[in-house]
Amino acid sequence: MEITPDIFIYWQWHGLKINATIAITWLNMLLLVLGAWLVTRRMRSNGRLSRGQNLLEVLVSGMEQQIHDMGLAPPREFLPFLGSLFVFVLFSNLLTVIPGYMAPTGSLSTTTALALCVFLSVPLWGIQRRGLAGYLRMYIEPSAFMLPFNIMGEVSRTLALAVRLFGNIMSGSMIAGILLSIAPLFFPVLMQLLGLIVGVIQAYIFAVLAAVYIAAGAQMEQQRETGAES
Amino acid sequence: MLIDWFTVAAQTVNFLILVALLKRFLYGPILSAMDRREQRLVDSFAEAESKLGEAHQLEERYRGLLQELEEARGVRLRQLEEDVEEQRRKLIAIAKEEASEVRQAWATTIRAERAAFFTELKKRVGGEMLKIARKSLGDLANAELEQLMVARFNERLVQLDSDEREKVALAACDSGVLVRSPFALPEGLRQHLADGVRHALGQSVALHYQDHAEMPLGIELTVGGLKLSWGVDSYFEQLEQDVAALYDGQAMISSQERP
Repeated sequence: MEITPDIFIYWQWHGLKINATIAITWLNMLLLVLGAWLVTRRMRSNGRLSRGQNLLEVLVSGMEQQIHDMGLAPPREFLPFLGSLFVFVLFSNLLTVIPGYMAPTGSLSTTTALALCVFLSVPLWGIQRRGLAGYLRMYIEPSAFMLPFNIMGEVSRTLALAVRLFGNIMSGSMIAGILLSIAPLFFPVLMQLLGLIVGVIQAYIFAVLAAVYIAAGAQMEQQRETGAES
Repeated sequence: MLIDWFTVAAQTVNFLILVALLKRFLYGPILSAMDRREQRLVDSFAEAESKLGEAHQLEERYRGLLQELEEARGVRLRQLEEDVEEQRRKLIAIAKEEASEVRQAWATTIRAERAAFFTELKKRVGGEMLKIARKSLGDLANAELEQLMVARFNERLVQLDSDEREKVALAACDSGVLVRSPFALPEGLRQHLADGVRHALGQSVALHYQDHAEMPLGIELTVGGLKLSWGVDSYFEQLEQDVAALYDGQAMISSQERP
C-alpha cells in the first residue's frame, strides 16, 4: 500500500528526479493553463459569452468576493496567489475520480510546499503592509514573553495546514483501498463520491485558512486604515 | 520518510510558476473582460440617463409648442367665428333690403293695377248704370234720364252761393260755358239747360257742347278756370274707397304670409 505518489520515480540523475507527484503536477498545470488559455483567447466583453468564459468568470468573481469577505483589500492583489491555491488543490482533488490518477495533494511533500508558500507569504505581505518593524513587533505583542509562543504558533499552523490537506486526501485513497479489499462492490464508489466532497471542502478550507493567516499578518495595518477612514 | 525535500522544493517552484501562468492566462484576461463589461454597462447607463434627460427636455419643448399651437388655434377660431357672424349679419341685412325692395315693387304694381282697375270699373259701371238708369227711368217714370239729369243739374245751379254764381257769371261773359257730357244732349235738353243756366246766373251765356263717351255719367260745366259738375262720379268715390280698402287688406295679408 502506497501512501504517497513520491515513491514512483520515473527519472533520476544525482539528486534530481522526476517522480509521480512532480509529473502529475505538471500535467495539472498544463491542463489548467491550457484550459484557461483556450477560453480566454477568444474573450468577449460584449454580446453572448461562451460557456467556458461564463464558468471562469463565475469562478474568478466568486473567489474575488470570498477574498473580499475575508477582509483582504484590495482583493485583486491576493487573488492570483489564493485563487491558484484553491484552483490547484480543487483540480487535483477532483481528478481523483479518474482511475489510476494519484492526486499530488495526496503527497505530504506537495502539501508541505503549499503550506511553506503560505508560511512565507504571511510575513511577506505583513512586511509589505506594515513594514519590517511593524511586522516583527507583532511577535512580541501583547508582551515580549509571548515571542516563543507566537513563533511556535506560526510554525505549528503551517504544519497543521500541510498535514490537514495531506491527511484528508491520502486517507481518502487509503479508505478506498481498504474498502476495496473487504467490500469490493458499491462501497468504494460511495467512498469515491465522499472523497470528491472532501476534496472540494479541503480545497476551500486550505484557501480560506491561507487567506485568514495572511489577513492576520496584515490585520493591524488594515485596522489602522479602517480607523483612519472612519 | 513522507517528506521528500527535493519534491517539496520542486512543488514550490511549480506552484509559483502556476501562479504566474494563471495570472497571465486566467485572472488577467477574465478580470479585464469583466472590468470592460462593467465599464461599458456604466457607460450605457450613463448614456441612457443622458438620452432620457434629452428625451424629457424634448418632451417638455414639444409639450410647450403644442400648447402654443392650441392657444393660437383657439384665437383663430374665435376670430373666424366673429368674421362669420359679421358676414351673416351683412347677408341678412342685404336680404332684408332686397325683400323690402321686392315688397315695395310689388306694392307699386298692386297700386298701378288697382288704379287701372278702378278706371276700367268706373267706365263700365258708369256705362252699365247709364243703361240701367235709362232703361229703368224710361220704364218706370216714363221720362228720359237725360232730362232728369239736366233737371237735377239745374237744381244744383240754383243752390249755388251768390259768390260762386257771380264768379261763374263773370267767367262766362268772357269765354262762354263749355258743357261736357257722356252723351250728345238733344236740342230740347240743351234749351232746358240753357234756360237753367240763364236762370241761375241771371244772364244769357253762350253754351258750347262736347260729348265724351269715356266721361262718367253726369254733366260738367267748365267756365274759365272753374268747373261745376254733377254725376254718378261722386257715388263712385265711395265705391273706390271701399275697393281700395279691400285691396289694402289683401296686400297686408300677402306681406305677412311672405316675410
